[in-house]
Amino acid sequence: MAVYINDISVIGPGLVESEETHAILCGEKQWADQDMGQLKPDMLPANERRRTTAVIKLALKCIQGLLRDQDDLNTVATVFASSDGDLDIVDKMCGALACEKKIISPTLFHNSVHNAPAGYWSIASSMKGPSTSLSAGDASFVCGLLEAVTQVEVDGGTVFFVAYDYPAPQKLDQYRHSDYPLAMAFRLSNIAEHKVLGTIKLEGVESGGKVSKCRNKSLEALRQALPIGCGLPLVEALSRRARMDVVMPYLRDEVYRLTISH
Amino acid sequence: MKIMQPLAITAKTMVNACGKGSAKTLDALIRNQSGLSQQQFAGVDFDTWIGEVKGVENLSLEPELAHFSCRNNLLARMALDTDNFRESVDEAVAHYGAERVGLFVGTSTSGGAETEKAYEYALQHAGVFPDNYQLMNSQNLASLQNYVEQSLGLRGPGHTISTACSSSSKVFSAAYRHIVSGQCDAAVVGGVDSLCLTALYGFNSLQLISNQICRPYDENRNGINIGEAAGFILLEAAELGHGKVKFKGYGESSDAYHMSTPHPDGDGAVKAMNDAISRSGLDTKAIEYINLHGTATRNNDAAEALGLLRVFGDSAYCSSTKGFIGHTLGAAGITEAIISILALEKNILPGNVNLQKIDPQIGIQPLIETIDYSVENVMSNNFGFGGSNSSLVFGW
Repeated sequence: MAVYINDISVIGPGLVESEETHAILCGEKQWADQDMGQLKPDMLPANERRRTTAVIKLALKCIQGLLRDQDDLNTVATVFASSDGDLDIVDKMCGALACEKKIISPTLFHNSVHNAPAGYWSIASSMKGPSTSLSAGDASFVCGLLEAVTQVEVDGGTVFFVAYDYPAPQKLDQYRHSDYPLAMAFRLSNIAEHKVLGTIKLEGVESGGKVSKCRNKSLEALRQALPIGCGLPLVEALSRRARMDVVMPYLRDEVYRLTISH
Repeated sequence: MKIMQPLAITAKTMVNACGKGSAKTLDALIRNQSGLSQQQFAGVDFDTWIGEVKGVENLSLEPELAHFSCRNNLLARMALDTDNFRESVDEAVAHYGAERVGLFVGTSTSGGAETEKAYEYALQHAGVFPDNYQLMNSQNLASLQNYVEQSLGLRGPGHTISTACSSSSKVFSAAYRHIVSGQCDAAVVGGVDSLCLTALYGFNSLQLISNQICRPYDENRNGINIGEAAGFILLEAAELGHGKVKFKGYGESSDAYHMSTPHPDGDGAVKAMNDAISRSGLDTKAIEYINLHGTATRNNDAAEALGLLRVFGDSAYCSSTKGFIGHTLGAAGITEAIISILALEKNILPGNVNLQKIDPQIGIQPLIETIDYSVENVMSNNFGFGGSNSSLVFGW
């Protein structure tokens, strides 16, 4: 069965304004590190937004770019993939639990679940369909994409897939360093919509083999900054409506090959 | 909604506060004997009951996998080494090839207790973390998946689902989709969560922890008891599982309501239950027992009961088994799925242990004690923070 990617959304440093981001992904403009500023996922009511963290805001800001007026809020599914979740919350919570008086705020605790971005997104969008939040360590991008593609293939309909990760706070950086935050979201469906960007085909696992690099060489720093950066060559290909294979790191020491066609 | 091709449950294993192995849990269910204890978990300064697995701290991982050492992975190993589960997986690997057996696991806090200990150590050692602390092999959610994959010698697709208390219920649908779409031929699904301060103090901050033994659906219920557990199931094509219980349906939904409170009318629960029934192709009446999420918080039980009435009326048998083992969070889905399968296999319907007086406000009648009764199809419900709902159907 054909699985179409009908839209994408990318948020990261230097990738906040959609037109500029599109130009960078098409190779028409150089990428440069630029602070994302305070992201404002404005679909979430202000009272809820105040309680969210930088990680949650990043994922929400990215995924909200995919929603269309015609979407059936009861059936569209979501897949959230992140290797590390919210390490800033882990830092705050474990810091508090190490103290004599172990005081944790209720908001900090409910924000600590890996599916916190998914929960806020469902509140923001009123989407009541299936939602999965997962991790597969360094292979989170490909494993999340596989989950989203198999959802389209087996359950049908439209699936929003968002992959995001955020640098660790100072104390935990020695164990998990990444230079930049990044979020990428994909609107997948079993039907081609107006302005479809491409068809995705899972070619499978290969042992060894080189992973795809960014065509726009200025984006290489971002691709290499964190594991989910491996998705950038895919969003580049979709932005340019290119037909090509994309090879990304997978579980173990393997790589995974996808074909993008039309 | 497309009717699902059933998958066979060809092996299963579990450890929890009732003991090591399915037989121990079954025995506790039959005797209506809770495994919860009033014993304190190290470092906790409030009164509650917990569902602790005894002897975890005396275990070790395989020497070549020692870098994955944390309570969560020790619990995982304890389950993998029980009920001949490892031998069954070895047979599946020999039959399908390691590349064709997937692995889908759920956890909410993974090996986060290691990070808690590292911060405590750092506080006493000028901010320096212990030498043996490894965030990626403990705290990171994929630690469980990576450990189990290597321990079982699997090389198929997989991931770690972390949707709070529905985590290891949702592994069934993920495995099903990967099998049907041809990514693998069989799959190990499971879930592990272990006692940690984050869960205990976190739920306490929301005033959801009971200072008594938890009493789901009781008039006087006042919160949960945290438990720890591990469970795994091997899923294979139904034709290979002659005489085995089948996984027949799944339904997943989001509440779109609140981060830590279920929709008061049980809307999300209703959608999950209805979708699971639709995919099973069964008539609602054909599902005769529902293992409830039944956490024993005021809100969960009231909302779930309302949802149950909307789907089943007041006719189906139902109970929450959290009074036996506590709320095992990311392991609740797999644990209660296995309890539901045991009910089918052993012709019992589990009681709602610790229940003294059914809350008259909620309109359903959970079984107070375990009964001998044979049914063809059952449902297991799990609902999590963030409004994440999952319902599963199992049957012959």
